[in-house]
Amino acid sequence: MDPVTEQGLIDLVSLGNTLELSLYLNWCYYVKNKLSQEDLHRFNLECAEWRHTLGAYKQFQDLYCKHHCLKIDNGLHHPNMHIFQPSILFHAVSLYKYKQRMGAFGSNFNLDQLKSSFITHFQEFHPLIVNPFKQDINRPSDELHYIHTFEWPGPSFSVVSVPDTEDIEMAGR
Amino acid sequence: MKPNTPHYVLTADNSITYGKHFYTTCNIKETCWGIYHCGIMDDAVTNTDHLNALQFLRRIFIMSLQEYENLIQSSDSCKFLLAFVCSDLMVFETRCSYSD
Repeated sequence: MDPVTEQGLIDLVSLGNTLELSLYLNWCYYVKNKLSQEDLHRFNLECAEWRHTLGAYKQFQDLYCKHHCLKIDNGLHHPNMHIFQPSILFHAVSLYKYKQRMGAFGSNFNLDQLKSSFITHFQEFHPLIVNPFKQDINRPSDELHYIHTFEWPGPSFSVVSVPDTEDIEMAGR
Repeated sequence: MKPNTPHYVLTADNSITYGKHFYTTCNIKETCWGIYHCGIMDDAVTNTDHLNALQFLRRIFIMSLQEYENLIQSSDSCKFLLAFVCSDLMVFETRCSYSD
């Protein structure tokens, strides 16, 4: 996963998003007060690793945005606005729609719990996508092109180093 | 078999099946979606818990991030490539019992 290539960056971001959202797919998260000592201990370790990974992912994003940008149609774009934020939004909405479609198939947590945990998470870590998330989960699945594919649904891009000169304005920065 | 591939195991008699799971970075997207399927569908799509699965994935992820950081600091693309090749494959084992 070489993040200075298009596919490498998409792979790394997919894994990062999965690890970031994985806590809310863990049934232990919703029954913390009812866990046995052993399960609680294991879950606490899981949470500690999750926090560490999330912190490292955030540091990576900050570092990446300082050194690289995305070239789309001859324009330079900020990675945070064009891949980091949209991709986790796509993943979260896809999971919500998937859970909605499956109904009560999985009984460890319900749709409202999943929605609430995502919103709480976004409010703390990604405040810019709280409203887009709320809007997209209320839209019909047919209108959400990104939930039907495993591939990156955004525009094709190439990764370029941030120019040393300050005279190039990046969209969204 | 790639990750996220629907499959099942049939045996003529009661059997103990020994298997291994591989994580490869070239199939990481399918791995991610497999985790989502397991998360949403609970135990309906798997016959065993992979307690260490996320831990392995975190290691791959952290290694990749560290290598990017090293790349930025050193701008040594050869070291970068070598480290990614080394971190490309991680393995964990499972034992699954099948019986009538």
